[in-house]
Amino acid sequence: MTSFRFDTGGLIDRSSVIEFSFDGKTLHGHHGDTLASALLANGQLLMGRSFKYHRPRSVITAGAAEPNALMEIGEGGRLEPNTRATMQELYDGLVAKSQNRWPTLERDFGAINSIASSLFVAGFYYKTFMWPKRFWEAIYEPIIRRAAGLGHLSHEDDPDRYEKAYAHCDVLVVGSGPTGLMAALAAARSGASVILADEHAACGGSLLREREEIAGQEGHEWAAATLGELAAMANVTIMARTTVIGAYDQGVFGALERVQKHVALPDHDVPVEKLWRIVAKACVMATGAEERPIVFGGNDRPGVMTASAMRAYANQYAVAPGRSACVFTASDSGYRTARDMKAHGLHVEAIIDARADAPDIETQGVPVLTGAVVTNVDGGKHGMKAIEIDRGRGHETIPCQSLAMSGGWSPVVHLACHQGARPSWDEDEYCFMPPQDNPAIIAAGSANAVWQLSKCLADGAARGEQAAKLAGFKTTKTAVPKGMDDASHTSAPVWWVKQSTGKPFVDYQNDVTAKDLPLAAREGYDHIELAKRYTTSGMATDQGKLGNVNAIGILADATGRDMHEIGTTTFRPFYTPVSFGALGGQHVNEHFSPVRMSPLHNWAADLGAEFVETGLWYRSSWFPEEGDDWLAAMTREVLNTRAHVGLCDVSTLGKIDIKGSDATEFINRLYCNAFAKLPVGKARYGLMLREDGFVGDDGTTSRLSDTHYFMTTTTGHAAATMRDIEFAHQALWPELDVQYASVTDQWAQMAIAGPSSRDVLGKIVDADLSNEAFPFLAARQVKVMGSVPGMLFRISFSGELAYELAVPAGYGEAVANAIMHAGEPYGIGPYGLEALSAMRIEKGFVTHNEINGRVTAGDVGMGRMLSKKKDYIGRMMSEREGLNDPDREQLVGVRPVNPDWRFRAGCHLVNPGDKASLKTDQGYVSSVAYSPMLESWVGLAMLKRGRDRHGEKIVLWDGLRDVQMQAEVCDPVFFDPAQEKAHG
Amino acid sequence: MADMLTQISALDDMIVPGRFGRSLPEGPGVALSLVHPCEVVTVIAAKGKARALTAAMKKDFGLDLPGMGASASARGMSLHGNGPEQWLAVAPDAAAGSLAQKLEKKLGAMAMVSDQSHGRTVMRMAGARARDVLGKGTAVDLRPDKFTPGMCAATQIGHVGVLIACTAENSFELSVLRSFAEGFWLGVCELALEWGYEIR
Repeated sequence: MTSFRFDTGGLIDRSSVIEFSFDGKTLHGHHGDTLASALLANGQLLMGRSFKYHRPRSVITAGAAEPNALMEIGEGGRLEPNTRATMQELYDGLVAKSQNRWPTLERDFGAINSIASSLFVAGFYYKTFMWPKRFWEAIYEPIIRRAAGLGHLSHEDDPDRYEKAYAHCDVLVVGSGPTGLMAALAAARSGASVILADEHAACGGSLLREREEIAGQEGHEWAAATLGELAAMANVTIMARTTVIGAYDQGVFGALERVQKHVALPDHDVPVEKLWRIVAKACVMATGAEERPIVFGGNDRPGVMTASAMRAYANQYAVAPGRSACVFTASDSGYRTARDMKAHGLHVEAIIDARADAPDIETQGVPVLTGAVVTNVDGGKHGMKAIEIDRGRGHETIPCQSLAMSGGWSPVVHLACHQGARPSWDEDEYCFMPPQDNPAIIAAGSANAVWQLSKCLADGAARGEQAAKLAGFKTTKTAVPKGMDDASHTSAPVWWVKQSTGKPFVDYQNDVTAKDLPLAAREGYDHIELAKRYTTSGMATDQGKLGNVNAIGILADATGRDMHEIGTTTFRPFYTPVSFGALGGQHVNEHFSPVRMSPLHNWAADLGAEFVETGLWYRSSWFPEEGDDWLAAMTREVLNTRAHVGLCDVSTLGKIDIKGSDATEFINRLYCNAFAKLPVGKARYGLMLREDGFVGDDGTTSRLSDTHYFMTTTTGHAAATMRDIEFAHQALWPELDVQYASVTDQWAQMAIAGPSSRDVLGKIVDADLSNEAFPFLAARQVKVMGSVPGMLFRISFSGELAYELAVPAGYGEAVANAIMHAGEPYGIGPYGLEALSAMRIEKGFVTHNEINGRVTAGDVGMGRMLSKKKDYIGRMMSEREGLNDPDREQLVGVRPVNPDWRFRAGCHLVNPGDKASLKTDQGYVSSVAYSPMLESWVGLAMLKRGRDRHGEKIVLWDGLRDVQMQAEVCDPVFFDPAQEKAHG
Repeated sequence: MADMLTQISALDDMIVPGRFGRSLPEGPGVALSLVHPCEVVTVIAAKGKARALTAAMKKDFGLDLPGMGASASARGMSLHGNGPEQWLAVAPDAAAGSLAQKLEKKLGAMAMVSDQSHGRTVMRMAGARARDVLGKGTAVDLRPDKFTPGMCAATQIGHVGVLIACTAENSFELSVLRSFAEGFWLGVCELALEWGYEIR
C-alpha cells in the first residue's frame, strides 16, 4: 500500500523498536507512535470496513473523533472492541484486529451490501417494520441482528482493575495546546490549584502536530518547557491520557484516565482506567477545534483524510498516507498542509480550493485551482490512484496517492453544552460557537473560534486569569510569548459537492450519505433530532464529531432554512466512549455492595452454618449436620428448640437507643399503640404506621429508666425506621427533648428459646429469672458472666419460653459460646433463620412478608391496637373508609388438604369452582413453611374477609408452576393458640 | 469472670501485619492499623443544653466543644463533631466501658451518652498517599490545605458511612459501623494497592 514513514523527523523515538500485530501480521513501530501512525508507517493503509456497506476504510483523523479506524485491542478478557487506533498508544506486544469484516479485511463478504446500497437508504430499518410482516421475522430481523454492532466481546471476565477517584481544584484546564498551556500557567501563577487534563499521552496539543514557532522556539519545544514549568509548581497537577468526558452540575466534571492502556501486561496493583470526578470552581475549555471533512464522492477512500490529520501524521509521527498528495479545501488549513507536506518531501499536485478567490498565500509552486471541487476518488482498499475534479469545464483527473480535505473548523463545544445549553451558529466564523450559559465554563482559543497561534496564546492567558479570578484569586497580567502566525481564515464552507459521481459520506461510521438527509426531510423528518434518528447520522460511537455540522448544512440546504434555524442535536456526556469497567470502578465482585456481618458470624460459621443474604446482612440460615438438607436441618432445629432449648443470632435487628425528658411522649407518638404507661423494666410490642395509615414496621421497645428506652426494629426496615424517627423529630416535633442513636452494631443479640431456656440462662446471667421476678415481657439491664453489661428481654418470637439477651458486640461470641456450653446438659442447639421463620409462622406472627406496605393493622388482626386516646403517625389516614372496608383481605392460616403438599408464597387464593382471574381472586399466600409440629406445610395468607372464613375450603393457585391444590382456611396461629408456653 | 473475656474486634482475623501491594522506592504509600479496643461514645446535647454542655466539657474534660466537621482533643479523648450538637467521643487508651460511664456521670441530663465502643471499628491510616487513597472513595475535598488537622467529615467510602478525622498532616482516623468493618477494610486495602501499604 501507499502509506510510508519518512526517513527523518517526527516526535518518535526511532531508537526504540516496538513489535505489535495487526490481523495476525507482525509489524514494528516506535515509542511515540499511535497504533494508527504505526500502521501507516507499515504501509497498512486499510484499517477497517464500514458498518453498512463494508467499504474499505482508513483513518480520517489523528485524534478523538476518528470514525473509521476502530479496532479490537487485546486478547481474552482484555479484548476491547471499537478502540480508536488514533488514540491507542503503541506498546510492545499489542494485538490489534480489524472489525466488521468476514472472513478477512482484504476479502470481505459483506461488501456486497454496497451493491445493494439503493435498498439500504435512510429509514431502511424502520421501513422493514412496515410490510410484509412475515419478512420482518423471517428475513430482516435476523439479518439486522447479525449485522448490528461493531466488533465483538470475548465473553471472558476482564482480569483488570478499574477505580474511581475524586479530585478537587480551583481551575480545571481541559486541553494542553497553546491555549490550555497559557491558561494553566496564568491560573497557576495566581496561586490557584490547577488541574491540566489532556486526552493524549503527550501534552502539547496542536504544538506537537503543527510546525509553529513560539518565542523563537519550535512549538513542541516551547510546550515541553512550559509543561516543565507547570510540573514544577506545587499547585499544578498535569493529567495526561485523561479525557474530560462530561460537565455536570455544581462544577463537577467527569474524566477518564487511561492509566495502563498503553502496556501489554498491566500491573494488577494499579487500575487500568480511573474514572475521575473533578470538582472545580472554574473550567477553561481549551478543547480546540475539529476540522470538518468535505462531503464529496469517495471522501471515505483510504488515502483521504482531513488536512490537519495529514499534517499531524507528517509532523508528529513522520508518516504519510501516500507519496503524492492533493488538497481539497475551503479553508486556509489546506494551504498549510500543502506547505508541510512539501517540506517533508512529498509531491503536492494541486490545491483544489472550493472558494472563488484564493487567499494570498505562498504555495511554493503548487498550483491552486480556485472555484474547483473534487467529485470522486479513484481508489480502493490498496489506496488511491487519482481524484476527479470539476472546475466548471467537465471532469478532470489528477493522479495522486492521498488527498487532504478541509471544510473549515468546528470548535469542540461539548463541555459547554452538557448541561443543556446549545451552541449558536456564527455567520462570520462559519461554525457553532460554544454557549456561555455557565460562567464557570470558559471557552478559550480555537474552542471559542480564536484561530491564530498568537491570539490563542493571549486568549489562553486571559481566560486562565479570568478563571482564577472566578475562583477567588488575585491575578497579575501574564506575559504572553510571541507566536508565529500564518493566515487562517475560513470562507463559506461547501457542505456537499452535488456534482459528485461517487458516494459522498456525511457520517462515515454509520455510512450515511449526503442523499439520505434530503430524503429524511422529504419523508417528514426535517427536524434535526428526527433527521438524526431517521438517517442515523451522528448516532455512531463518534457521535457525529466530524459529520454533524455538514449534516446540518445539507439539511439546511434541502429545507431552505439557515444553519441557525436547524441548530444542533443535543450534546450529552460522554464526550468519547467510556468502558463499563471504568463505570463500575472498584464496585465489582465482592465489593459490588457493602456486606454486613453479625458479631456472631464466626460463632455460627464455626458451627457449620449456611448463610443467606438478607439485604446487606449475611444471616445464619440453618445448621446442617451430616447429610442434612435445609429442610431436615430446620426440622431438627425446630423440634429441638420446642422440646429443649435453642440459640439463634438476632443481632441484625435494628436497635435504637432513645433518651430524653420527652422520650416517652416521642415514642408514644411513633407507635399506634399505647406506650405512655409502659413501666420501667418492661418491654412492649409496638406497631408503627406510615403517614398513609398502612403498617410501616414493628418491633419491641423496652423502658430501661424513666427517660431511657431501647427500641428494636425489623432487620429490613432498620435504616428506614431510623430515618423516619429523624424526620419526625427534626420536622414534626422539634420541640421535644429527645435524643436517639442507632446501636444496632453495638449489641450482639441472641434469642434463647425453649422450655429449658430459663435454666440455661440462669447459669450465665446474674439475675433472678423466676416467672415472678422476671415475667413475660420483662426487660432489664443485667450482668452477664459476672461483669459484662447486658440487656435481657423476656420476649418470644417462637412461642416458647424465650429470652433475648444483648451483650456488647465484642463479647458476643464468647457469651454465645458460654451459653452453648452451659446448655449442653439441656440439649441446646443453634437454630437459624429457617427455623426462626418456621416457628413464627407456626405462631402466626407477622413479618414484612405480611406487612408489605399494603396492609393495615386491621388486616393483620391488630386493629384493636390502634389507640383511640392519643394521636400518632398515620392515625388520620388509617381512618379512611377504604382502609376499613370489611371486604379487605385479612390474615388467615392455610393448610393444604394433604399435609405433604408443598406450596409456595405468592400463590393466589381462589374459591373452589372458580377459574383463576383478577375478578375471582380472593387473596394470596404471604408466607409458607413446613411445620415440624403439625407435620404439614402451612402458610399465612391474606384472604378477603378472611377472619370470617375459618374452616372454608379454598384453592391455592400457583400460576408460575401451573399448580392448584385444595386447602383449608384456618386461624393463623397454628401452634399453642393459648400462648401457654411463652408465659410459663 | 468478665475480666477473662476479651473484646473481639470485627477485624479480629483480618489484621495481618506486613507490606502489601505495589513496592515503590519511596516505601509504602500508607500504613494502616486497627485501634482496638477503643472506647467510642455518641454524645448528643439535650434540648437547650448545648451551652451548659460546652461549659461542662471545658471544666471536666478540658475540651472546647468543636462544631460540626471539627475535632478537639485533650486528656486522651477526642471529640468529633459529626452532626448538629452531636459528637463522637473517642478514647483509645481508656478502660473498657469507662468512657461512657465517665461522660454519663459528668454530663448527666445535659446530653445523651450512648456507648458505641463495640458498635464502631476505629482504624488509622497515615502516609504520604493517605489523601489519595481516601480520595478514591470520598467526595470530601481532602487537599492538604482544605482538610487540615482538627477537621473531620462524616462521609461515605464504597457506600459505607465513615467518619474521617484528620489527626496530623497526613494521618487520619477512620471509624465505621462494626458490621461493615470487614468489607470496608478490604475495600480500603484494595484502594491502597497502587502505592503499596503496610499493615501494622
